[in-house]
Amino acid sequence: MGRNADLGPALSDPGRRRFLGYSGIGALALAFGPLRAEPSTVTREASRFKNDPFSLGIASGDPLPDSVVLWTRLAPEPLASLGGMEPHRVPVRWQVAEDARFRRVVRQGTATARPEYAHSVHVDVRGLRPGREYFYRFKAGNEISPAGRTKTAPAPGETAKAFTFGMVSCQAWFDGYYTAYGHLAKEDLDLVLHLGDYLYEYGVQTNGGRPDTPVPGKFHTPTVHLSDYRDRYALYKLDPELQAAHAAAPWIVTWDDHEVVDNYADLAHPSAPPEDFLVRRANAYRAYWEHMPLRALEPAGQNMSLYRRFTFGRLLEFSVLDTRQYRSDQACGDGLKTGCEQRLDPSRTLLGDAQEAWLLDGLGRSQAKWNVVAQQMMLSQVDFNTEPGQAFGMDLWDGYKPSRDRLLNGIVERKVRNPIVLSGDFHRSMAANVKRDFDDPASPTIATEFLGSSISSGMDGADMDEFGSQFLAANDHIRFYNGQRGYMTYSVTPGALNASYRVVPYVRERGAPVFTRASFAVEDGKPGLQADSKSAARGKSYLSASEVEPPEPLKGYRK
Amino acid sequence: MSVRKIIALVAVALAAVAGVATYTGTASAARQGRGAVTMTVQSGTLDVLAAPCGGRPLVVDLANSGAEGAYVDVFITPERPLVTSHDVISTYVPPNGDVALRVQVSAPLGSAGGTHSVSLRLGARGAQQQAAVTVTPKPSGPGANLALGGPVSASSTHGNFSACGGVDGNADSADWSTRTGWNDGTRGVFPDTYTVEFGGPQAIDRIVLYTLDSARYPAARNGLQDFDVQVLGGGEWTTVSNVRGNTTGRLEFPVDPAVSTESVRIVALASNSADYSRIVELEVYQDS
Repeated sequence: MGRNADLGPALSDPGRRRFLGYSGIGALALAFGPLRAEPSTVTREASRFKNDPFSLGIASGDPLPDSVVLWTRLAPEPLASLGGMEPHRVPVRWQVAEDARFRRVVRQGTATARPEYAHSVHVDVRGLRPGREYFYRFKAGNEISPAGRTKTAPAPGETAKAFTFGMVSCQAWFDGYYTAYGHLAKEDLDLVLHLGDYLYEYGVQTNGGRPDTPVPGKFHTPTVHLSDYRDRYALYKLDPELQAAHAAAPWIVTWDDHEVVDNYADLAHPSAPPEDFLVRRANAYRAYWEHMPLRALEPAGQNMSLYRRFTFGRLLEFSVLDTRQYRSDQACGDGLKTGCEQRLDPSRTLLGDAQEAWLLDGLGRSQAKWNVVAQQMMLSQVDFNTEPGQAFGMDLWDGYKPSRDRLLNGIVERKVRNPIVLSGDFHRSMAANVKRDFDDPASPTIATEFLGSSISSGMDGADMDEFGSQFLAANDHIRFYNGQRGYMTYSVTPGALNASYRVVPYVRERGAPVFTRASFAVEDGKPGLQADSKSAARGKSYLSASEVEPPEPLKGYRK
Repeated sequence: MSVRKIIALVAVALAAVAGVATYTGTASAARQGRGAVTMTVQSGTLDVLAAPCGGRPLVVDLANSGAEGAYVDVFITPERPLVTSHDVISTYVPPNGDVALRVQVSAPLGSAGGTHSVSLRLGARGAQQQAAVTVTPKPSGPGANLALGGPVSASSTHGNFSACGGVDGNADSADWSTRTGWNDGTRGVFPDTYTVEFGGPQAIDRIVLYTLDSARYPAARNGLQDFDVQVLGGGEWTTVSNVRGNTTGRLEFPVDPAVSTESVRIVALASNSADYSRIVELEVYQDS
């Protein structure tokens, strides 16, 4: 695409309502935003930038039948403070077209990149047609962004013949390359789900997993301040393979713990008392909002509502959860525990009462053939101990057993159609039959769970490791394990949901190929893994526990 | 560059009071007096060592006396030769709450002794406040610890640590991972190297190594087990000592006769926990 093309004058269209509607919020943001001490909070047309202002790429997300959210952030010096931008507003034009060459532009307008939001831009483009592919781009000054592809959700009531989506999580920049994203970007997907750990709070060391990419000293320490989180997002988002994956399809994102800090629970974290920790959470939530293609308005303070529902006609409905912001503190001091009574306390919660009620209510009302619960933690029981005496990860649903029982009972009582549970966090791939009672082999399978591995977290890994052989031996409902990196793809029709584990054999070096390690089918009306095919392993075949990065529930700070 | 002013919306009242800058959002009269944040820079003089790891944190307190939370930017400008970890720190400040920021201030190796200032502003156009910083040249000569303050490098460093943690003058294992220490970043992979340089040949006669050894983390369980101590001369590394099966926290290596070297390194071959290499402090002396 040529530079300096004229995008034409801004049109008054429904997509601009968000920005007109912002005037009230804008005033508030000016009063309390970071730059309110700036006497001239002016909007200036910038015609030239020191470098490409679209260095962090573009994205789209939160697709509805008539709308998608477009995102970018102006950062001509992406690793410099404030992205190298001056503290004034900059108009950013945008276009949505039916074709990749932008000959049939159907919506366009002008958004404002505001310094108080690190010059990020969120455009909620309305008035689009359902179930359609679109292309979008931005222009600031004379600079034009790369074009992205996106897609609206099918019309309500329509049953699509087929729908495909990808699923990703856990992308520690310092653990390896985003080769998996490069391959994901080449898949033909209607949607990508991100289940959290988009960013890690840990310091990035110059000599870590990407020795060819030295980073300035300010990246060597953990993220605490808003500026730290902003800089870290910029570092991650500079990656061209991540940018390609964003540009390829709309994303629906949710967070896990590392977008703030390892294993926090609501306002509880061993690093600080709640009255201090809330500052870090507020900084992290704000930066997350600034860098994600979210329809939600910007958070003010330590709370941000993120759980939400997306309906894709009559075929598919996603309930996207937040299992961090409202949870009770981890039982028995967190970590791996045997004989922990506190995990059975029914007054403790993983979702919080409001989200739990919203989830069950939504599952009960759903008209969709496939009902997907997209969330972070392994839902199925994972006994880490092959000896008698079960050992459970207190950060997982196992640490909140009554919360899980309420969800599983709610699914059974409401006769939810084809419940599918998606999870991340673990840095491992697993497939499981979700049992009404995991300790009773005769208990019915009531749902199907697909745990997707990390994009890079945990480094290369191995096809099988000591943890996996223990999990398979101690948990009959877990039917598949892989300890390498990758993503998942799903192909959904009214009759079946097909899930594929797409694996890269290594991430510590660039250029790994991708292959399908295993595929499973779930048939309409029959919960559980109904069929499977597995291909041969590649990369390291087996590693002992001391040779491999432990699964996420065993990592990090322990209280 | 063609710059066009479209809207000028806000005027901001600004008051500077005796070292404390006060900001009150006045974009809306109805909100006047809410969300007021003040910045206080720590009093007294900060002492830094003119070395890569010789920096010290400058504490800046942000207090919000209002009933609304606020997001603020602190702009930081060091006077030469000082260097600061950040030029901007942005943070949320909760209503009726405060936030302490730590700005790492350092001076490059070879800087002359003297007192200099760091300027801070709350907001890009805020009133300037100054902090005084005294620079001390890196010690040399008889009895000096040549490793103190670095420069230091490592084969890898765990994300919760800094390579500087092993040459920061703090050899107390009780402060491990909170205030001091180096931990490599590759679990279960050896060798790991930790290297300190002197910027030119120096005659050294004694090396002291502290590996992790506290009540909580005893050396026999968490310290270095097998390692070589090496010195660099003429582009070649020479092993001064090789240690096998170590279970103690402090090890001293006399170098007799003294050797001239521009760098000392520890090559860690195994740790007692089989996962990571951990060094609390590395010291190198001349004429001791």
